[in-house]
Amino acid sequence: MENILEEVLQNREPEALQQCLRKALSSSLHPLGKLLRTMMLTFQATYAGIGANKHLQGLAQEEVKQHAQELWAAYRGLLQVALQRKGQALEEEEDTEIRDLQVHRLVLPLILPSFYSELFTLYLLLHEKEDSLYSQGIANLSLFPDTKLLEFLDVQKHLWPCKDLTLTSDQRHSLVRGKCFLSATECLQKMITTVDPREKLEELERTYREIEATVSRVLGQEHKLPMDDLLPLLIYVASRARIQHLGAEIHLIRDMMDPIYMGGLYDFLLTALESCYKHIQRGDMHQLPSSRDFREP
Amino acid sequence: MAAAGGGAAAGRAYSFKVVLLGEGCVGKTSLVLRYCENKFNDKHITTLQASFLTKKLNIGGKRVNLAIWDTAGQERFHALGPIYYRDSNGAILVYDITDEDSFQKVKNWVKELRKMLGNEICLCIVGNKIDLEKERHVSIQEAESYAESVGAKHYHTSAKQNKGIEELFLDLCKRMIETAQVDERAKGNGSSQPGAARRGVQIIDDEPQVQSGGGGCCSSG
Repeated sequence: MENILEEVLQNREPEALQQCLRKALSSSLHPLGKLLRTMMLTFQATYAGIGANKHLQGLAQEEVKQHAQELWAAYRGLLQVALQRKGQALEEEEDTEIRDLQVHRLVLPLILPSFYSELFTLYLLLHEKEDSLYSQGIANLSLFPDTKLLEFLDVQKHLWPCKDLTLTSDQRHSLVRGKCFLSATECLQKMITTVDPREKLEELERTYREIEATVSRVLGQEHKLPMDDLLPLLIYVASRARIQHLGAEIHLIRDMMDPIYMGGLYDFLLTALESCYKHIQRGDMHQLPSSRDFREP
Repeated sequence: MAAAGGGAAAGRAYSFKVVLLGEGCVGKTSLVLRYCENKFNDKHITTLQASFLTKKLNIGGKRVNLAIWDTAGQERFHALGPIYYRDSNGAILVYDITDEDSFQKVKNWVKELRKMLGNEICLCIVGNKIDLEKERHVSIQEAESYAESVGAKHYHTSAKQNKGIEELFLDLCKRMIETAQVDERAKGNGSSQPGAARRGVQIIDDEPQVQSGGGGCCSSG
C-alpha cells in the first residue's frame, strides 16, 4: 500500500498519470485494478446471456460511463490519502467540468476494453435491422467493378482515379474491382481494429485525408472536396471497406466519444459516415449492376 | 476541438453549428470558402477542409466558435438531411438568383427545418450570384417577403465579388448569441428542466491544458 500511495503522488502530470492509471487498472493487486475487475464481472453477469437484450443498451452505456467516473473518484480518493499522509491537502474541490473531461479523455479509453464485448453486442442487437439492410446493400455493391460503381454512385468523372486500374492483358477497365481509393478503403477498415473511440475517429479522419490525397493526385493539384463531391466518394469507400455492423460501430463511437468532439471535425466525419450508412440501406442501392458490357472477370 | 481550441484568455466561448443547404450549383461552398479564407483573416483559418469549416470570432467581447457543415446538394441525398442538421443552431439556405428551381428547393428545406427543429434554429436565406443581376429570375420582393413570412432573414451575396458575405455571417452569429442567451436565461430561472437545454449550445470553459494541441482545431493530436 505504501508503494501504491507513493506512486500516485509521483505521477500527477497528465502523461505520467495516464501511464500510472493504465498500470494500476491492469494490475490484479492494485485497488483500482481490483475495482475494475469487480465492475467488469458484474457487468458481464448483467449484460451477457439473458441480459443481452437490446432494450438494455442505454443502461449499459450509462453504466460504463458511470464506472469510469467511479474509478476516477477512487483514484482521487487514493490521491487524497497519499497527500494527507504527507501532511498536505488536496488543493480544492474538483471542478465538475474538469472531472468530466478527465473521465472521458483519460479513464474511459482505459477501461472500455473491459466492457467492450458485452457492450458492442447490445449495439449489434439494437441496430440489427438497419445493419442487415446495409449488409444487403454492400453485398450488392461489391458486385460492381470499380468504374461501374463510381458511375452508379454518380461520382464526377474527372475525379476517377483511372490510372490506379492496372490492367492485365485480358482485362478491361470496366472489369477491375477493388483498386480505386484502395488506400482510403484500407484506412477505414482499420477503424474496427481498435476499441478506443478516439482511435477509431482518427482512422476515419485518415480515410478522409486519403480520399482527398487520391483526388489531388488525379487532378495534379491540391483539391479540397466540397460535400457534393465528398459524399459520393465516401459512399464508394464505405461500400468497398465492407465493415460489418457499421451501424453498431457508429452509434457506439458516438455514445462513447469525448463530448468535446461534438460539433467538431470528428463529429462531422462521423455524421458523414452515418449518412453513407443510411444511403447504402436504400432500396436503389440493391439494384444489380446491369449485365451489359460487364462480365465476371 | 472546435469548441475547446480557444486562446490564452480564460472565459467562455459560444460554440455554434451551422449547416449549409442548397442545390448543387448555387455556389454555397464558394460562399463559405470565401468567408473563411477572407484575405483580412488569413491568419485565422483554422481548418483546411472545404466541407467542414471553422472560424473563431469575437463579437462585442463574446467569443464565438463557428463550425460550418456543408451538405451534399444532389436531390438523391435529400433524405440524408436530418442526419446533418440535427443539433444545428443555424442554417444557411442558398439559392442562385438566376435559377427559380433553386429557390423552390430552399422553400422545401425551410419547411423541413421548421418541422424538425422548430423555431429554435436561426434561418438565413441567401440569394447568391448578385453579380449576375441581369439574369435574375427570382424577384427580390418575392424572396424577401417569403423570408419574412417564415421568420428567416434574407441576404444578397456574391461569392465571386465577395459581397454581403461578412454581413451574413456576422448577423447570423449575433442572432444565434441572442437565442443562446434566451436559452441560458430560461435555464437560469429554473423554469425548465436542465435536460431540456439544447445540446447544440455548448458553453465551454477553455481548458488551459488544451493549448498544447497546437492551437489548431483539427483533432490531429
